[in-house]
Amino acid sequence: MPVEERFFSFDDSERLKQSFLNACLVFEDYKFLMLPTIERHEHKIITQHYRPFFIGTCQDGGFLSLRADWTVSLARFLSSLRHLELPLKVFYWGNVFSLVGDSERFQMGIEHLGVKEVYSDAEVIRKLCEYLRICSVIDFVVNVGHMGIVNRMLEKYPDKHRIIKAMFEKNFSELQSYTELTELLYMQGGKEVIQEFASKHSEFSRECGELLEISEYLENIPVVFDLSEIRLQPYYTGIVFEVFHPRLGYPLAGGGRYDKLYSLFGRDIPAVGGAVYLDRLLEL
Amino acid sequence: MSLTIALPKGRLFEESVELLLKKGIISKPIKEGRKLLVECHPFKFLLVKPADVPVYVENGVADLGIAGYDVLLEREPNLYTLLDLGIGFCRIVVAGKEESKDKYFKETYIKVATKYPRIAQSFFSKMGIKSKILYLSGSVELAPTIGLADYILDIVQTGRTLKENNLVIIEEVANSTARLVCNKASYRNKHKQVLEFFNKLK
Repeated sequence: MPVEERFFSFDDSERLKQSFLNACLVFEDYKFLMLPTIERHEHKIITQHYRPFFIGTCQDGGFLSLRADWTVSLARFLSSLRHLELPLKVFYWGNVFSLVGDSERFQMGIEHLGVKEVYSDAEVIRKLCEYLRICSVIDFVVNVGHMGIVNRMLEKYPDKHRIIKAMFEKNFSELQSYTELTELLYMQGGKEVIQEFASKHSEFSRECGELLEISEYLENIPVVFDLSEIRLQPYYTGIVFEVFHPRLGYPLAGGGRYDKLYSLFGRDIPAVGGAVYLDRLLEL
Repeated sequence: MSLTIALPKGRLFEESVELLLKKGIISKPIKEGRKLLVECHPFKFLLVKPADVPVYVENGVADLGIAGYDVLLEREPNLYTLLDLGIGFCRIVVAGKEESKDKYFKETYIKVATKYPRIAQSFFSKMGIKSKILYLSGSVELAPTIGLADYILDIVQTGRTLKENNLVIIEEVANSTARLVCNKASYRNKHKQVLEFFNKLK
C-alpha cells in the first residue's frame, strides 16, 4: 500500500458518515455546497506552507491540482457567481490534499459571508463547538488570537519568514531579542491578559476590543486567549482560533476571519469560517 | 495535574539532569538505568532514546521533553520549541577521508552514510547535489573506511571519533544544542505548570 493511500475501516467509515449526518443536523440552516476535487491551481495564494498536489495541465495552459483548501475553493466559486445573496452561511464536508504530511484529509467546515461584526466570528466558534459536542468531543479548549495584531507587528521585520516560524514554534529563545514579540508569547490566559495588553498598546485597541467582545459572546465555552497564536494560511486578517483536546497534540479544529481573500477574486466580501479536522476526531 | 517529561538517554542525559538539579526543578539526581519511568514528585520522567523524544511529546504522552536540535531538524515534529537550553552543544557536519576533501567540492553526485537522512537530503538538494543517502542507525564513521560511502553526515562533539577513524570535517551543516519542547495541547491544558517549569529553566 503506498503511503499516500488510506483505507478506512468499517468503524471509522461509520464515524465519518456520522460526522456528515451530525453536520446536517447542526448546520440545518446553512447552505450545503459541493465543490470540485480537481481544480485550477490558484497561484495567488502560494506561500511556503502551501504545497499543492499538481495532477496535470488544463486545456487553457493553467495547472490542475487537487483541492488544497476549502476556503480558497469556496471563495473562487462564490466570487464567480453573478448573483450572490449576502449574508450567506455555508457548510461543506469533504477531502483536501497536501504534499506535506497526510496526503488526503477530511474536513467539515462552515463559512459565514458578508458580515464583518464580531458576533459572526463568535457564532462560527459557538457552532463548531456545538458540532464537536454532538460528535461526543466534550473536553476541549478554544484558543483565540488575532492575526491583525501579529501581522501588523511583523510588518516591520525584514526576516518575517524566520520570525513567523519562531512564533509558530513559540520559540522564546529565538525571539528573545525582540521585546514586543516575546511579550506576545506571554500574552496567554483569560480576558485580563487582553485588558493588560490593551492598556499598554493603544495602537491595537480595535483588535483588543474585538477580542474582549468575543469573550462576552462565548461565555459558556472554554476560551483561552493567546496573542501569539498564528495560523499559517496567509489569508487570515482578524480573530483566529484553534481547538485543542487534552489527548491530542495538534488542533482538532481551527479557523478565523479573512476579510481580504475575496478581493483577490474581484469581490469585497468580509468572511469568517472554520473547519473540524475529521481524521483527528477519529484518533480520539 | 503533574507534568510528564521525556528525557534523552545517552550523551545528553547527564547534562539534562545536571541542569534540572541546578535550576532547582528536581532535588536529587536521576540515574540512567533499566528503569525507564522515574517518578520524581511532582514530575514523571520518561527515559527514552534521544531521537524518540519528539514522538513522545508530539503525541502527548509527555508534556515536555528535552531534544537535540539535530533530532528536531531530522524529524520536523509538530510541537513547540520553547527554549534553547544551551547544553549538549555539537556540530552537524559532513566528514570524509582527508583525500576525499578536494573531490567533495567538485562532485555532483555523492554517496552519504548518515543517521539523519532528512537533514542530508535537504542539505545536498539545496546545493544542487544529487545524493544517495544510506541510512545507518550507528557506527556511521565506519562507512568511508570500508568504502560503503565516501562521506558521512553526523554530529561531532570533540572530533575524537572522527580522528580515530581517520576522518576529517569537510563542511559544516548546522550547530545543535538541546531544546525544551512542549506538546501543543499541554501548552494550553497545563499552561500554569508548563510556565512554571519554563520559568525555572529560563
